[in-house]
Amino acid sequence: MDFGKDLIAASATPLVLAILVEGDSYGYAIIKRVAELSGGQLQWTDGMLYPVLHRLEEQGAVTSRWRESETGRKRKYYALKSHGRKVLAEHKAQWLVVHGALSSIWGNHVPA
Amino acid sequence: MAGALGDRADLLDELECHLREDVAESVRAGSPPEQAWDAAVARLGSPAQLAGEFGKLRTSRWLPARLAFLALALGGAAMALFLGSGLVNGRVRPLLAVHVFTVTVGYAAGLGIGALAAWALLARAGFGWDSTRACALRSAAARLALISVAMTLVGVVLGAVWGRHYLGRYWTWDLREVGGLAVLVWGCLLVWWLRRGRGIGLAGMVVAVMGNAVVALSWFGPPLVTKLGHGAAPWAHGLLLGAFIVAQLLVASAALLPAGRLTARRRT
Repeated sequence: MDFGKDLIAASATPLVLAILVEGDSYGYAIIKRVAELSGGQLQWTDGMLYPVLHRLEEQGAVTSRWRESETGRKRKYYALKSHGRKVLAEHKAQWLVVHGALSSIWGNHVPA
Repeated sequence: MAGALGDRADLLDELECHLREDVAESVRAGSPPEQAWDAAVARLGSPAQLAGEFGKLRTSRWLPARLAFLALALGGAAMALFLGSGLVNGRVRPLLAVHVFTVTVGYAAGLGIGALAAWALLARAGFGWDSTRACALRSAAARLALISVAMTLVGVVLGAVWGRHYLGRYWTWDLREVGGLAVLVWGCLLVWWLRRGRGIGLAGMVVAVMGNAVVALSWFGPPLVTKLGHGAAPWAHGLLLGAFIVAQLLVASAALLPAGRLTARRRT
């Protein structure tokens, strides 16, 4: 299924923040988790994810730290900050409103 | 890739790490290594695309840099008003007024670079550092260095013209002239280094902080020596200058601390 660029862009921040609520994570794992959550439908590119992560860090929503991975190599982990939780709560509220509105109308009118 | 993403070494490390993980997983799944590599690089995106996406990040939103430029603008405006009133009242001549203004702004811009580097060192030690802020620091330092060089150069030249007019010589090796030359050379070195695309790593931050000592000694050292030469005992002046330089050394020593000490302590 092809997703519009705007939809992908709009959903990127709440998805990343929601995944980080589950625990600290790193870029590759986040991309894998997004694919898993969407049943393989959302295949993010790295070029899409890392600017989002860096923007969130610049905004103070997340923090990052290099840590040693199980393979012995350094890996950059991202963690949610309290400001990030507030941002996520705002996004969640907005998406639930949109979801509710669409569910109402699609529930009543089955699209052709 | 490195050229497209500039001096963001941290980011390049992160992308390299991602590539390795992607390739490793593909190979574990049975893909031949070369095919796994080609697929991983394709998923990463072209360097131009990545650079374009990262270019959208507004690195100028680093608050300390905005504050530094605001302080410089306000200080320059205040100095201009002060000198302007002196011109109107006939207390100061135009040539000297412009010389004082340009040297003051040039020196202040030099101190601004050191102040930002000091902030970066302390922020890094306390909370960690990242490539976005490193780019913002580099960008701000480059602009301040250009302002410092330009204004100090004009100031030094005007000072030489003033010296020729009132003392009969363009250059007398006066301590203030030597100080101006030192700040100018320091600024030129910084401009050259930053324009070669080198980021400001830890070493750069330490050097920039020590640049504060160069500017402070050039600015406040000559009047101190003059007072000493006239038999005065300017203890307060000397102590303040000494304390300032010691403070720069202490801040520079923050580079020895591991990054993110405060956040690390909160997590343990």
